[in-house]
Amino acid sequence: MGELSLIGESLASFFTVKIMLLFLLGTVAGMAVGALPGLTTTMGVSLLISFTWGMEWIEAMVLIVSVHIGGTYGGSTPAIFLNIPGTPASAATAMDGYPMAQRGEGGLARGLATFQSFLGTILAAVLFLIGAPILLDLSMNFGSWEYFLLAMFGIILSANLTAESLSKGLISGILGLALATAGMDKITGVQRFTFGESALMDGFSLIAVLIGVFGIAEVIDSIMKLKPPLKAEKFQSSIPPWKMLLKFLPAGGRSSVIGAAIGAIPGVGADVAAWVSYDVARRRSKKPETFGKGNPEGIVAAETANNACVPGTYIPMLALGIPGDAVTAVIIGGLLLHGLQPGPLLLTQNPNILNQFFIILTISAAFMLVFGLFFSYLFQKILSVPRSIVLLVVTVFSVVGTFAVNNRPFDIGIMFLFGIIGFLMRKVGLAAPPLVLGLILGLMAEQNFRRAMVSSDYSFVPFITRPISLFLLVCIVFLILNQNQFLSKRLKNVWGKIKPKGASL
Amino acid sequence: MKLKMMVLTLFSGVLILGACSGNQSNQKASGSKEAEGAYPSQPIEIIVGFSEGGGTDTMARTLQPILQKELGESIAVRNMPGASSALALEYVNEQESDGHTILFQTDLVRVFPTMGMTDLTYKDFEQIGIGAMGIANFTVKDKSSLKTFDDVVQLLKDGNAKVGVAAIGDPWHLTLEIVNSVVGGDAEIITYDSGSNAAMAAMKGEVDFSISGVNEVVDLLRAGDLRSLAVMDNKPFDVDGIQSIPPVTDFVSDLDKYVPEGTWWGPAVKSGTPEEIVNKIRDAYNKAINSDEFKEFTKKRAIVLTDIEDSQEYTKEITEKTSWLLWDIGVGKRSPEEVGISRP
Repeated sequence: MGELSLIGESLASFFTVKIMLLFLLGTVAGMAVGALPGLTTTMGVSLLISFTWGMEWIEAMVLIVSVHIGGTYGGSTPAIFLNIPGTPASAATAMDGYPMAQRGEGGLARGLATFQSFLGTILAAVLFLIGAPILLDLSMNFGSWEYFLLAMFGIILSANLTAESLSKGLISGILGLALATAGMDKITGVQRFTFGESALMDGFSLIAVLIGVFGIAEVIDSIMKLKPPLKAEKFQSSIPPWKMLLKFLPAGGRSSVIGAAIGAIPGVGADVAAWVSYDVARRRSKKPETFGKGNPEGIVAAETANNACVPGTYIPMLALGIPGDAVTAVIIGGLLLHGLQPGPLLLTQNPNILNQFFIILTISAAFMLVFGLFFSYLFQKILSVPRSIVLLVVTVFSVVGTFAVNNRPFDIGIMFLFGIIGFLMRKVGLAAPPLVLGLILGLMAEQNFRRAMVSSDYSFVPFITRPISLFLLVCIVFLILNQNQFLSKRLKNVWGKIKPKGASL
Repeated sequence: MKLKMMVLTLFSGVLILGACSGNQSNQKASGSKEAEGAYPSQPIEIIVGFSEGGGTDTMARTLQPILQKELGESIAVRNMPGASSALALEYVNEQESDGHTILFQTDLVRVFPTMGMTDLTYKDFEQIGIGAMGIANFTVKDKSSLKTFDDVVQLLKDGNAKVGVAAIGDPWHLTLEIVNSVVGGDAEIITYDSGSNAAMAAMKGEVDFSISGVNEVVDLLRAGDLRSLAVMDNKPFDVDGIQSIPPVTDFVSDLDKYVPEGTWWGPAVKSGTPEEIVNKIRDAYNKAINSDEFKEFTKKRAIVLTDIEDSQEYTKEITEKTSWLLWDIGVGKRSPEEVGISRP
């Protein structure tokens, strides 16, 4: 019970006007980027991070986490009413949400999605509180070998699941790895691909690349085919009856565990969590044929899992310092900026940090629930804003946000360059997530591989003799050998029906 | 609709202002005239070559209010990370030499001549002072078979030691090279980006021992999982909460002329700044580092106050020694002569 009183103590420090305003701002902003098709949570977080520079770390985390939660949830509304997932994470929601809306049960579907997103976040936050200390205890067993393999695992898994085919995914992944080699090599001090440009000495600015491929690329894409604003119908939301919620509690629990577990694996995100959970629910159902035709259980499975994924991704992020996706990479950057080093040292620096993250997650979930249930008209407003204004705002935010990170005009050029690259990649069907993951994890993979080699006198044997390393190695081999049978097959039969374009991480 | 657009424009406007507020003192009137008379004549900027929240930034921000009071003009700390702080050096070098742009210099200035991040050297700046230092120390995991610094020396002499440092050319790597050259040792170097990560690698057993700043590992030492065998100094180091750390000179007296070794911090201005302005800043800085606030800060973080008298001369000597050492052992990227650093 000591743990609980500790949480209570930290809790009190959150109830200030400023922090509550940040929760509010983050939730609404997150829901907006989530609801607008093309704008993803990753982009929302990257754009916001530079505005948190001057804040205390806890305020910065409040803002980022509530955008993360709000954004993951926000995609469900257009998925249900318009059959257009706001983010790839809500693609599975559309499967049963849209048929329900056509039947005139859209309000119920939306209410259910809202409540299940809340439930998923809360249950997964509890799992986070249990899982993170366990992984932290284990973290001393994660040496250079394990970090290298985890990074490779993340890139390969992301290539496997987010792209049309493994080969196309790997092309993006390798492109990302290649980009990661730019900059001064930290081990020998040699400058690689900097072309004498001192701004490139630390490599490509991650934020500039992220905003480029997720933000500017979308802007270019939309200008090419300027879409009219979405026909915003009347979005209603009804609170689902208690009996129904109670009935779905076991399914929600199962989906939360699936979501959190998938979140904890580097390289996969909320979209995969939603599909896996959806698939499991259908297989276990007595009437699998009703799925895809407006079965509320489909919404429960998808919406619980995609939000449960969020706290799941925070487990390896805090315990090992491994960013499983672009959002957590940005959050790690934010933590480092405030002098907090994720990984085994974290608890010596700030013994209370896990509780603080737990509190941020639960309060964000509460804000999301309230706004989701009672402010449906907000979504209507957001979705009826003309596309041109949305694009303008995104462009302005992109430029300002990129510049503010390092105060360097050079990064703005990088951002536009990657906007064009990202746009071209879309045209040829190359997914952006493996590229970004390659860039994020590339340096980690390379450095740790070289450390591992030196440390073991250039022998590969420790990869097999170290238990965690062996386990990861087996996973990677399994992943490559079974890329058409294992996870991906069950995913791809559902995946084929709605192919998310430019899936987010 | 109009209202909506106005709100959106306003909202983004506010955010833009917020993002740019760090740069507000960007524009500077070239003030060669007022530089003679009353310094400071306008707000002062302290340029930090690293991100917010890091060790260098925290120190600059601890000193900022005290300097502000002493100089009687508002002072803003501005972060300009990139290229191991070389970008910050270049920025300060592009400003007027009127004392209104102060560089928060670190010891990295001594490796630039041979590592080549920038052509700027100590000659392009006037070092105001070097008040604080993070002393190098040798750490092992608690259960390590290395019990004293003698064991470390023996391991280096045997030539198959694996040593963790933060980066090539950093003070911890230099410390290793100095010890190796004195005792005739050799080691395999593995870099871990920061001293605390290198210490973690020692705890995990990936390296035999690590070299880092005491300030970087003080939490780990207090937790008891990490042991410090010696500091690169000639006097023992007393840190709150752990046993006093013996100096390397207790074990190898020949190291005496190379100590203290570690990372250091102190303000510098562009060379050519009038002497009376330099003196004015120097007086303020000396008062700041002798203040109770700063002393408490250094004590908590296990940072050492130095007794360096002539910091410009010190920077010159240490740059010559360091850059030629790096060049001679083959890790330097260009001869220090190329940027006019003569052999000591």
